[in-house]
Amino acid sequence: MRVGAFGGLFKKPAFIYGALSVVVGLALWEAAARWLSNPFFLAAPSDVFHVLVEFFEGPVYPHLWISFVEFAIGLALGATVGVGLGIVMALNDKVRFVCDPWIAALYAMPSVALAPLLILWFGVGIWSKVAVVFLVTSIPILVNTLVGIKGADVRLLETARSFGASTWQEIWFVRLPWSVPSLVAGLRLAVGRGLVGIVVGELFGARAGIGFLIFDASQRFDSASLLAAVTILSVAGVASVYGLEALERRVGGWKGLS
Amino acid sequence: MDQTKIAFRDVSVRYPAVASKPPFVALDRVSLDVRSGEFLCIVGPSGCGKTTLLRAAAGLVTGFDGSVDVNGKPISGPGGDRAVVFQYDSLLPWRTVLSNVLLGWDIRSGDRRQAVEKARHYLAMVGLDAFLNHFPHELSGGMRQRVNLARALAVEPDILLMDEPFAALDAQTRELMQAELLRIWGSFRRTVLFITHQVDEAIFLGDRVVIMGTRPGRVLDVLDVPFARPRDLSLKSDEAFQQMSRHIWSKLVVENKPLQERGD
Repeated sequence: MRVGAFGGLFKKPAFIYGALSVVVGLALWEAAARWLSNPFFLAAPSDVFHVLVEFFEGPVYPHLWISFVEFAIGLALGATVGVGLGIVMALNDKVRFVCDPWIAALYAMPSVALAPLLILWFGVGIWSKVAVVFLVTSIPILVNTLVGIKGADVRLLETARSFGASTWQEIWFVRLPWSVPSLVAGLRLAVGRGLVGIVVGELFGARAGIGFLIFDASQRFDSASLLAAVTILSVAGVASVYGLEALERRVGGWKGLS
Repeated sequence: MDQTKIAFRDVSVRYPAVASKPPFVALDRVSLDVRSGEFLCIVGPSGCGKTTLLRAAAGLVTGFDGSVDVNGKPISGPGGDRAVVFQYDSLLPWRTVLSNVLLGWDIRSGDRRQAVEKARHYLAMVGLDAFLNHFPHELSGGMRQRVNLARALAVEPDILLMDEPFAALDAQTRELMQAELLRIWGSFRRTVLFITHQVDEAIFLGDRVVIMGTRPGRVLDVLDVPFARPRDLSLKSDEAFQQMSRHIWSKLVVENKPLQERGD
């Protein structure tokens, strides 16, 4: 029962109330910024919009690109190591016992707090931010891979074995497909954390990037530019969450949930 | 015809005591010959080790005493000459019906085009050629078991090992599936080892019926089934059939106290 594209979306109460809420909120914000406050503390949405337009006339692209590259490399590395180590930990008890306390500690703490240290180690170029994104994304992906791979139905594993499947074939034909919903959930967590990681990393030390724009704007007490950069981040965040939710629905189809 | 296909020799499976559970002897020196091309049914109560025996033949049990020979050679794990139809729903839920039937071929990595042809052929045989692209959750229990059967048939095994394949189905579907299985078996005549706890199912399907007892799991008796093939479901109301059923039943009840609680 998939809802066809956007058919009927604009008539749904969720959309009508949501859109109304955004419009009223922006109007109140505009009014507050104009009559109650001044641009030093809070820029009006219209000012933010003007800055955004200026941004996209050119100057924002290098920053967007840098942040994107840091994010993409960090997430790719985090996913590779997270999935790889997750599989090994799921299949080998000793490796799991050795890694467990570290993973638990890293999972429990807000690991972006280590960003300053990573910048100290890797400098203000892109690699420190790659390291931050790697750190914050690999852990949730690893944990979700571990849960998925370990949780595979023993009856399905036995079925594969009865056809002579090797350990690797068991992983490929049963454990990995079984884990896909859990992997996508992990990826969703990781993307959220990765976006935070980028900003925090760039706030602490960078020469370019969206986080750097925020830092730079705050140094100049330019709240309009700051909010414009935040807007870009929030759009990126919302877009990736929607994308991953769509992916989740797709791969979850076999459960009969779609 | 009397050539031995599977030879169980003094097969014993013991589970050592763990924590609160006492040691348990699942199978105690079981010896049994499965003849080439025969349909052999093993009937017995829960806990008699009949499933363990089948799993040993499938190569899924390790660490037992004695030996299991297939075609005169001791087995050392699962093999291409055998395929299992499990009792439980063992279809991969993310694969379509056709793709599920191709699982064996995927694992054994044969020629894909030929495999698809075979899969379609056996799916047609079990009457599911109209459901190739359905997912398991869209099928009824009986249909899923047909897919399981087609998946085992598609690797064209020498021996079909069936572990209570119809146990989870409702009574009516079960009867239909029994008749279907005989029809299908009639067309390929491979060796079948069929596990069940239903006496009438064992007699209806089998050339011979092995009666097993529990604590420890062992063979009580092996009976020839005298009824001619092809058989149809009306055979079950035949007096001779019911007499044989009562005979096996009495052996099971006498030898296996727990059966009285089963109310089967």
